[in-house]
Amino acid sequence: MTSSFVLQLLFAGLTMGSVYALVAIAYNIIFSTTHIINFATGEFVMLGALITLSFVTGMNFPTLIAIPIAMILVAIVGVIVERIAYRPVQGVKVAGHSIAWIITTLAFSIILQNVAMLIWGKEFLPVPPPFGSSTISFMGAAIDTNQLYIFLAALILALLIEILLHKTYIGMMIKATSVNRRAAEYMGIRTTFVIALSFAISGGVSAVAGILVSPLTFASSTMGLLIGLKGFAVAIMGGLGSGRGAILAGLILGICEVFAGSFISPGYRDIVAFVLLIAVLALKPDGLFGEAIQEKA
Amino acid sequence: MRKKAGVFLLSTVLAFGTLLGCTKTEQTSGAPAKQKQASGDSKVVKVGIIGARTGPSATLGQYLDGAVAVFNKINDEGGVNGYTFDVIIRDDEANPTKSKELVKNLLYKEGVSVIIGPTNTSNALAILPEVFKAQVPLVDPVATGTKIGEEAEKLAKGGKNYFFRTTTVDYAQADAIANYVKKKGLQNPIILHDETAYGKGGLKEIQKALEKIGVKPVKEVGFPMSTSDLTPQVMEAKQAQADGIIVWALGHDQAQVAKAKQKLGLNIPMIGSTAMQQTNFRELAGAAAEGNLSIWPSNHVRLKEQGERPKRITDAYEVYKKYFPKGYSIDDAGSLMFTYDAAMIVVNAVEKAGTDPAAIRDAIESIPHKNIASKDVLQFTPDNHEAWEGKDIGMVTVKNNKVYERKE
Repeated sequence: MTSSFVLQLLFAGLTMGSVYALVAIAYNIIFSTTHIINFATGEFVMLGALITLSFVTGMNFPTLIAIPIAMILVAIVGVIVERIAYRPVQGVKVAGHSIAWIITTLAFSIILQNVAMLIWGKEFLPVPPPFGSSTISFMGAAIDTNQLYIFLAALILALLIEILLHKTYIGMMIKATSVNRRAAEYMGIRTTFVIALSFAISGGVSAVAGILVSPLTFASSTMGLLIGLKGFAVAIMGGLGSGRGAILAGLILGICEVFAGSFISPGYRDIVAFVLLIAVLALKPDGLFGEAIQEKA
Repeated sequence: MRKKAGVFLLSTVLAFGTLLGCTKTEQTSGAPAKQKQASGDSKVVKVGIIGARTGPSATLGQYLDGAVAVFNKINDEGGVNGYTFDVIIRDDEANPTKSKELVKNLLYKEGVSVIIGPTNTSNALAILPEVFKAQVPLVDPVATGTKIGEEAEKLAKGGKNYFFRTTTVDYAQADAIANYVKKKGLQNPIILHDETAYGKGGLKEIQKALEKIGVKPVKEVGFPMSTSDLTPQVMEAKQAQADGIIVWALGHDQAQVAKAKQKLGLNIPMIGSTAMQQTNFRELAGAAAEGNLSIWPSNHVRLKEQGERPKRITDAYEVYKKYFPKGYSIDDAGSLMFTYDAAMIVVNAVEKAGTDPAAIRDAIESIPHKNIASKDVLQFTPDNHEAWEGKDIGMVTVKNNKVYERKE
């Protein structure tokens, strides 16, 4: 294998990896405040892509205006999910465990997917690259500038979310809710609001992931399932709740899957995520950045 | 208490929503298959139509409307030779198990004389033993798998073969591609294919067809369906110094290949399986679609740079348009023509043979079918139940975002 070929694979892997990292962060934000996994996250990604597409190609909005609109709309969907699929069932015990949210968020994911199918159909739809696209040659590899932008935008957004969670008042409220919800309430934090907010932020982040990835993968009402599952695997691998872990695990997964797809067999590409997941869980059960989760336990 | 009631209500709503989302309505009779009731002496022939009307292959299932249109037209005109048609449509959702159950129902409960469909190769393989057991002819206008024909010959055991096909079987498509490779003198083609049954099946056919002309592909590269970036795969073509790319994959993946090829500045011909002609290929590939090649029966629905489409095609399209005004445009009506053909073949056979399934089978096999859309005349023989051979299939190319027939 020549170096340009390896480089080409590396870029493909990093681009997808940064998108997986964003999806993992979307899982993490909700996990931080509620300690649940929102299984509708993949559908948020799909909605972000399709709503943006409708605004850009259907109504001729400039992309830079369509993106915030899509983020806000998906954030609203996030709040609706919180209100309907999380709040009423929190603490409801099924067979002695608080696991009703598993079925409600899963149900929401199916509902969102079916609604999307009714609106946008099942076809793959082309999405224009948000920042334009041209090809640059780098050490023999042909790199689409769009891929470069996706990578950078995803990393910048991931960093912004880290800053939001660790350096701002909102972040402190989220952390307080996460560590001890009742104590946070005694301190005057409206935890129901904080939880709704975390769903909204998660929706917005997922929407961006969808907007970024869809020019590469095309948009379709069924795109949420696989990307949602991989984001979930990345979130667990990185250590639930850990932003750094999500970014690192996302990039590792992205790179591993393109290399496995090219060097072993293409059939293995989608299995890699779950093999890695099992390996990480066996060797380091709390994920790569496990200490973050210990604090919250 | 209020909260509990709320939770209950909510879970009910969600459960219901989930059920609604998952269940698909089963069509018993999807289109207004009118029967002429008035004339007392008219006899009714029951025709079963089966295919994926909903689910992942729903696009294929909609092509069956071409056959429904034919029966509606014949019934409106009062039937043929005193026979009118009762069309029973069944949706197998591309699920082979369901397909088998529905076909049993068509054969033994409805008592159909002939079945048109199904749309997917694995479904066809699942129902073949049933139609052979019941000795009812099956005319398949959509599924292209070579294996269906092979299985049918095994089941016939040298006796009567109940399977007929009006669409282009995979080996004929592969032969057509090999013909082009030979004509252009390509020596080192690379084969790119998806890892589904469709892509892997296509790979085998292409390998066989290329072997016949003495060309060995320089490499075979597989990829999972819907891969986000196929640049590395196309780069392998560049590194292997391939002089042509043959792609057997669905339209959206072929678009990824075309885009990667453009990105890498790779200036060699790309020949796609017929899925390249799905409208989404041109939409998704954009400018990268220009100049790409594929295969389609010659003198068929594709646009011509000079001259017009054959009258048999435009006439058939008019029949379809009358009953399905919001359906496919003529540019995308290629596969509709095969279902139209299947229905016309059945009409011809019933006109001659009446309602008996075995007699209909014999008639389908022996009549020269002259009033179909795709060919001037279609003649099956006891040994050949396929409508198309590689030599009948020509090349098409994308030009200005449209698919044109290519004369060379």
